Amino acid sequence: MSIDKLKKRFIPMSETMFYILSSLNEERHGYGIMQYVQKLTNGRIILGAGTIYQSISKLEQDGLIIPTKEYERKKEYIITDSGREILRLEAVRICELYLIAKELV
Amino acid sequence: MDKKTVWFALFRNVVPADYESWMEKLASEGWNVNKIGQFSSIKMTFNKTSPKKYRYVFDLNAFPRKDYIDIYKQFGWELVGKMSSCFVWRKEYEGVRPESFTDKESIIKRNKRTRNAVAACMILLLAGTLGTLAGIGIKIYFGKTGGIPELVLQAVFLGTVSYYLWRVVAKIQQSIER
Repeated sequence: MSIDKLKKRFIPMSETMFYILSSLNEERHGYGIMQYVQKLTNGRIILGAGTIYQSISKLEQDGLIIPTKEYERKKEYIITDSGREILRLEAVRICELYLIAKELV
Repeated sequence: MDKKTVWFALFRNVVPADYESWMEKLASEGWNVNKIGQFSSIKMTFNKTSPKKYRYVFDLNAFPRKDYIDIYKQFGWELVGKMSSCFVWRKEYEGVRPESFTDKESIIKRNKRTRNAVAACMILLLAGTLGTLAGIGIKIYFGKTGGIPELVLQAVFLGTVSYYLWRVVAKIQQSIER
């Protein structure tokens, strides 16, 4: 899928999707993603199994992440180049939002 | 009495969140199932146990990938069983009721999958109803009246079921966010 199509599909991104995608800068499995995001947000976001499964399916289907290895019934994933590009574009959007929001306070 | 049979449980609780709370309420009263199978939508047998605090999750997944079950199990969910493509999970808990769908987007997606599956059945049955009506029309046009009462009966039956499914679709749609 082209970057333009991916942009339309993923940006703006839900908070859940943003954290899942960014957690896959390193190889992780489903449960590992939940633990990482929980730590990153100081326990504010605790992702559930259904939400993680759905998000991983969508991200893999559109080539933003790929599976790397499987062991003990755990499947690990990592972000792809197009995934990294989408994440970067979303980060740029959030930074813009941040600068504008900062003016308001 | 240590057994309790419930008929058409899934048809009485068509909204996924309602099915879950219904199962949870029974569990808190000490009524539990050992396994859910293909025919549990029609007949379910509950055994008397001690009261349990379960969180039930209903998740329709027509084409689950290989890691679907593994991910749920890693999160501590027990697969109670599946009816056709509907997976039923549960987890015993204390304190905060655990969730499987932790944001609005994924809850809506879960409900949409359920709604769309019911809608697909409805469309098939509606096509069957219209086909039967067309058959009746053709018979009348050619003056062949034999077998018409049976066809009328078939159209009424298919039409009624389609109407019921349409109501189910509307009900799930009303609760799409929970």
